[in-house]
Amino acid sequence: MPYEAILPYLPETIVQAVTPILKKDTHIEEIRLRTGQPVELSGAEQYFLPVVFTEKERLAFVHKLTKHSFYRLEEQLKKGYITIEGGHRIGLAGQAVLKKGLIHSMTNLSFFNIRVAKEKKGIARHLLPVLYEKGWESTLLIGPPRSGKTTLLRDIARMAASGQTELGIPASKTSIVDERSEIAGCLNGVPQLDIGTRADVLDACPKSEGMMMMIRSMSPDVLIADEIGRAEDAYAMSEALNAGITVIASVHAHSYEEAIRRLVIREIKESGMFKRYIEIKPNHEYIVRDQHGKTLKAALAWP
Amino acid sequence: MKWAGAFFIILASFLIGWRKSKTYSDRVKHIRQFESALLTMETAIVFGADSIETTARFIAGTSEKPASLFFHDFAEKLPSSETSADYIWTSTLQQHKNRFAFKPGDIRLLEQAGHMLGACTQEAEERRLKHVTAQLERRREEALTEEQRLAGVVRAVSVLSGLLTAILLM
Repeated sequence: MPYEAILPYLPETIVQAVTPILKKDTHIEEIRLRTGQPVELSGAEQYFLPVVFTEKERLAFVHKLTKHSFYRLEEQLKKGYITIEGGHRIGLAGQAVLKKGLIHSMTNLSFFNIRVAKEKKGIARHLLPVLYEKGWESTLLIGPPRSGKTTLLRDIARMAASGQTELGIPASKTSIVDERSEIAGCLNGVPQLDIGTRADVLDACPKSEGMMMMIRSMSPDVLIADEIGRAEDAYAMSEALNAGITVIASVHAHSYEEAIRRLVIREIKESGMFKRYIEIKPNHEYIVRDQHGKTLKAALAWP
Repeated sequence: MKWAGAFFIILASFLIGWRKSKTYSDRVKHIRQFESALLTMETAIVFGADSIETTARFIAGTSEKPASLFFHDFAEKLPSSETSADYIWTSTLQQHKNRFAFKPGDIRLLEQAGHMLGACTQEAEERRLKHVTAQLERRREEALTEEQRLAGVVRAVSVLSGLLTAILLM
């Protein structure tokens, strides 16, 4: 079960309360722990459990989360989340520590949002006709939070790296720049999720630098990156595309129109870098557009 | 019979003296073991960004007894415990202190090494470990001077007192 890696981190009382619900409702996406408040589970439905996350449990949870080594997580704390075994991401809130006006770290962590990583093998399969023609097409996945961008991106990476022999698609050298450790869910550099046989992962590395490093060092056929948006990302992607590498990436937006309102994405679109835009709706429907933004397929729910 | 008794008295005195003088050299050795361990810990924290548990296991595997036993026990307790690394460090140190030839001041200093261990930034961890290592170095020099000054004296006094007792009893 995907949530099993989360349970060792939780206090025993909470494990006993959440396990039956997690078993019963496979659509649970988040477990929220707030100090002094009842535990909340949310997905398609919401559950407020009659167990309170106590101060003692909070301390024990933080010790387990940081493995008694707070200093190792300074970078993650600045970003506000930690990735654990299985690729599950734990969002954090507490008291920000500022240094010269910038967030230096976080302390008194009291609020936790555990996002259950879902590995759905095969969800990208029905997109193959638009993703792969003579080769993999450079594609940008557009979607709001919790729409399944990363899950879809992971499956595309897995298919690219493993190939689909029955469809005549060979396995490609796939490089994944996994800044937030969500695509491959690496633990100590080893992927916890299935990302295919020919995939190389650069874990916890800033995307733009990571993409340049992968281009130079791993000579990929396909380059995968999650949640692009900065000018440096666009530069790194253009370098990849000019080197003949297919780039498949995702961006955070509620719609295609909203995505291209962002200067960086608009410039990427105008340069014709991406051949496909896949807009993912919160109900897991998607719209496929070509490089000019023209709709190719609309409102198809994934299986 | 008298000669045998005298021999045993002298032997016992010698062993008592030898044991007492060994605590001086052991203290130097044990302080050196911790100095080296804390230096490894500092390096691992600052450059390797390894967890406290991984670092403690590495130290346990590379250092000599009794420090290796302490670090092994500390590393074993970390993953299963819901308390802080600071508390585990101090309680493990209290359990193991009789294995070491440390003075109470040495133990207090080592407790400082564990204070806030794993609960602060890399910079703070480095500063604290550097501070403790510097103090340990000073204590090792003192212990070395003490060893050179007193170990031989203790051994000689023990043998001589044994001889005197044997002569008086004969």
